[in-house]
Amino acid sequence: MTEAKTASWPTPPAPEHMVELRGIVLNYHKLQVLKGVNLAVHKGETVAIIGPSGSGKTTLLRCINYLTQPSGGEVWVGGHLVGQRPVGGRLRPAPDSVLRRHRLDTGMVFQQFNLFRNMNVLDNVTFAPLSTGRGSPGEIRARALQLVERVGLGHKLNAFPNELSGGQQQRIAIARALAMQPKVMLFDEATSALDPELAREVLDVMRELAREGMTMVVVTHEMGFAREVADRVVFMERGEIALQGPPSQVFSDKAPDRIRRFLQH
Amino acid sequence: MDLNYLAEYLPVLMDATKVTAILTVVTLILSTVIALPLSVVGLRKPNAFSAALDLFTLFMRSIPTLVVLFFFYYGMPYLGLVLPAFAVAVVGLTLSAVAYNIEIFRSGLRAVDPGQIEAAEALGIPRWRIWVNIAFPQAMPVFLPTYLSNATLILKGTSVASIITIPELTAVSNEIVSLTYQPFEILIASALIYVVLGGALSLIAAAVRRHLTRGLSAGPVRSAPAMKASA
Repeated sequence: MTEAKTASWPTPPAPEHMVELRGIVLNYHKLQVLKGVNLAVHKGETVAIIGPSGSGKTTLLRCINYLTQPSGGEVWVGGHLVGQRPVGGRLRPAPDSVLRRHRLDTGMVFQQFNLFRNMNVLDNVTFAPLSTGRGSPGEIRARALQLVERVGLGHKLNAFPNELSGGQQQRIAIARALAMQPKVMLFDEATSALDPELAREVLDVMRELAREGMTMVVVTHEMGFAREVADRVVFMERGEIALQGPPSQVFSDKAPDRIRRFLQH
Repeated sequence: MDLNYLAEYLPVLMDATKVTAILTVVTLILSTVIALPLSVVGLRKPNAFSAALDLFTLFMRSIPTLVVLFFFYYGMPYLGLVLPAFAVAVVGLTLSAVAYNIEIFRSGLRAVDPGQIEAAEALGIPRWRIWVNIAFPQAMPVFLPTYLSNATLILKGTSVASIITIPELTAVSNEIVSLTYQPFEILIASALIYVVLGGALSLIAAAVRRHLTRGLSAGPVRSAPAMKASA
């Protein structure tokens, strides 16, 4: 079977799709962790991914910036194919330098914050934009100050991560990701390591970000957040999307049994 | 203790000390500069090059430095390569020091939280920046004590070079003793010189450590509430 590869191959997604996942498969040894997931996230949309542990939600999120390289499928962010490029009619893994450029469109926030422990707050926020040349040092610094102020930690500029609470560290981690001016923000269980009070201050920042129109993909166990803030909720189970829709639908009494069972826990 | 005897030979010992110091510093600098980039090879994902390196470090750590020096000094001429004694000493000592330093640096780098490396990758930070600005500064406090004790081993290891006619401290001390048959003063003096050199190394390392790890040690000192003397 021959297939005509036109100039526009591989076909970019519709422009309003900020993120588009096509047939994402991930095999880990004999286990199929992701079984051909398709998902489109619109510009300015907040999508919450929920589901039982081991359902592949974190793995799916990590495929969006290729921290985990899928075994098959295409990831598109901001109209660009991520982590791959067409070579002689086939998609090949992109070299490191190219992948690095692809990653500039996505910001990620981790469960364990992962701040650079050898740098103070200001350096944590400015280091990535400075080392990738995202503006002049003056601009970068000004932007960083603004971001740190915005997450409510303007008075902690010179503090080191081990001098901050978990909630403060996570807010700085959000500022650090935003300093790269990404098109999409990915949150990987950003509040799971925090007690409820500290989680709330992080969720407030996230809610604010969603309101300002940032495109967000949020893997979370915070059902309250998903219900309130998400435009769409994606329920994953065994490496597949079992159901997706607006929160009113996913959290309704008419949702399928297994989802209601999951939500009761 | 015959101080006049010692004073007579002190200038000669001092010249030998210079040779020992130069040999140590050159070996230390070369082995560090070579081992630093090699220590990150294949650390995250092992590859063919890192497998070859593993083999190299295993070899060099197993073979006595003495044998390496003999090999280069007496063996290489068979292959048509005649090197001056000092060059042989530097090459031999450096090769084995590189092997140890690679392992020492790696042990420190492995202790760095992989989550931070991942976060840096997600931010699109260039790889070399991740090593230089994030991984090494945090690995430093972990590997520095081992690195320092290895540095003193290198200092003492230079005495092996006496076997290939390098006029360093051990060789010269031996020479004097075989000339005068008065070993006591000379050996005490050379031992003291080694102590001074080793002490200097420790001081330098401590200063470097203070300078480079300020951020990491910065943190609120959580002092436990004073214990009340219970009756």
